[in-house]
This record gives sequence, C-alpha cells and structure tokens, in this order.
Amino acid sequence: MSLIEQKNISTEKIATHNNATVKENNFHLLKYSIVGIVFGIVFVKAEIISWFRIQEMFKLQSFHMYGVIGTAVVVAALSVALIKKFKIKTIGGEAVVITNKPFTKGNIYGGLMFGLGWAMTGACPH
Amino acid sequence: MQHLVSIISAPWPWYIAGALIGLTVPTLLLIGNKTFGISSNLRHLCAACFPSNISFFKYDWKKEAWNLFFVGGIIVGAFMATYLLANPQPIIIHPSLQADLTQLGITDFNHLLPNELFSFKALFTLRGFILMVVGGFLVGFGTRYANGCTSGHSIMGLSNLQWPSLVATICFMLGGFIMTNFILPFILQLK
Repeated sequence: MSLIEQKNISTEKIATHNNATVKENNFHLLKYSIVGIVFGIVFVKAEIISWFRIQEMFKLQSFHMYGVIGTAVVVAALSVALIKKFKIKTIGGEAVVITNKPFTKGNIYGGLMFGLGWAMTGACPH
Repeated sequence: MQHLVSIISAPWPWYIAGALIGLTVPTLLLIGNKTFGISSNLRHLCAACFPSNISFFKYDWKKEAWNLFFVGGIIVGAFMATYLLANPQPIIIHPSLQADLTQLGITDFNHLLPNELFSFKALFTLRGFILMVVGGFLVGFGTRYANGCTSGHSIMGLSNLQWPSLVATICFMLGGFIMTNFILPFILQLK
C-alpha cells in the first residue's frame, strides 16, 4: 500500500512541468504557442528534424547537430545559472522553480530505446 | 529584401539554431514558470483522451495544458517554415552518406526525409514499416520510459545539472550509434 502510494507520488512529481501557482486561461496559454512557433521554425530551418542530419551525426560525418545541441545546452545552462544566482522572478512575480529529474532505470532502458528509434526515424517525438 | 529572404530560406547555421533553442529554456521559465519539455505531451494526450484506469494517466493533465499549446505552436511553426520559408535547394549531404544511400536506391535528397523510406507508399514495404512503425514505437515508448526526450533531458535536464539527464543523454547517443552503424545497414537493404 505504502509502496503504491509512494509510486503515485513519484509519478506525480515527474508529470509536473508547470510550477506556476496562478491559473492561466486559454488566452494566456497562447503565449506558449508563440514560443512554440519560433521553436518549430528553428527545428525545420536548421534541419534538426532531418533524417540525413541525424544519420550524419551518428556517423560522425557532420558537426551540425553537435553544434546545435552543444550551443543550446551552454546557452540554457548559463541562463538557468543566472536565474538562480540573481533570483530572477517570472513576469508574474513568482520565484522560478525547476522540476528535478529523478533517476529511474527507465533513463537507461528507455534512453536506449529512444536512441535506436531516433536513428531510425530521424525524429524526436514532435 | 530579396537578400534577406534568401538568407532566411537557406538552412540556418548551428550557432543560431542552438542559441534560439537554448533561449527557449529561460523564456518558458520566465513567462510562466514552465520547465521545457516536449515528449510529456504524448502522456497528456493519452491522459486526456483515454484515461481508463491506468495510474500512469491519473494526474491533473489540465495543469499541463500549456505544454499542448506549446506543441501546437511547434506544429504551426514547422508548417510555416516548410511552406513559407522553404529552402529551394536540395539538402546538402555528406558525400559518403550520399554515396552509401544511392547504392541502396535512396536518391531523393530534396526534402528533410528521403521519400523512398518515409512516405505512405513506403509504409507498405517491410523496410518502410520497420522504420516508421517500429521506429516510431521505440521513440514514443522510449521517451516516456526514459521520462524525457532530447528536449527534456539533453537540454533542460543538462542545463539544470541533473545527472539522470546525463545518463539518459548518453543512452540516447549510444542507441543512435548502435542503430546507425550496426543495425540500420541491414534494415536499409530490405525491400
């Protein structure tokens, strides 16, 4: 019983990508669509969802994907570090909370499955 | 103006794309305390459409509705880029990859994906079925089992110094290297 409860709690934690305390209506949620549009354009224009680019990455024939992922991680990590260091608040005035990623064996098995599928389809799930 | 259009429609360099993707992380955090991720939407859609009695789907998916809006935007953006900002040139491919693929009868280098492998017609060939259906299953199931994809783990997780995300990222890459170099050559020979 307690095991099941614990499991439920941990999956609940995993699901949360939203740490805002205020509720947003559908109109407010449109701002995420705008960020998404920019993101979608980048994915296509930088050929990140190209099967050929993924093949080149795993055959070490091109630096492109390593450059994209590397730059993205560095820019994101610097931003997160700055937000934490200067305790930058959200535009709604809340403290920024970032959900931690708990370790599960799925990180390994699921990760390997994802990698196999990624190289077959040339796409992440979007 | 003509010059600007040709710059935008040519493939974007890695540093521009990488910087824009990286900036998505603080943007989402600052406009609404949202942790960047994409693949969770597979779960939200299932939880919203067929919750049944599965504990994995019992959670407040409405709280994650922002993520569906985000992905809706990605799809719109991808269509815009494909139809309005299309690159008129064929995709540039490493010569030895092109030679390998040509030998296997794959000669469509005009799109992001080769038409011979990924099309409705190819779905009814063994090769196309394995790549699209089995590959799609591995991506979809794998990403939920791993609790994140390249976005949630490799970019959000790594930038927040989460070691489980590093484990997941190493496994993504390992799986990809194994598939591309040791398994895919056999799959591509199937008809």
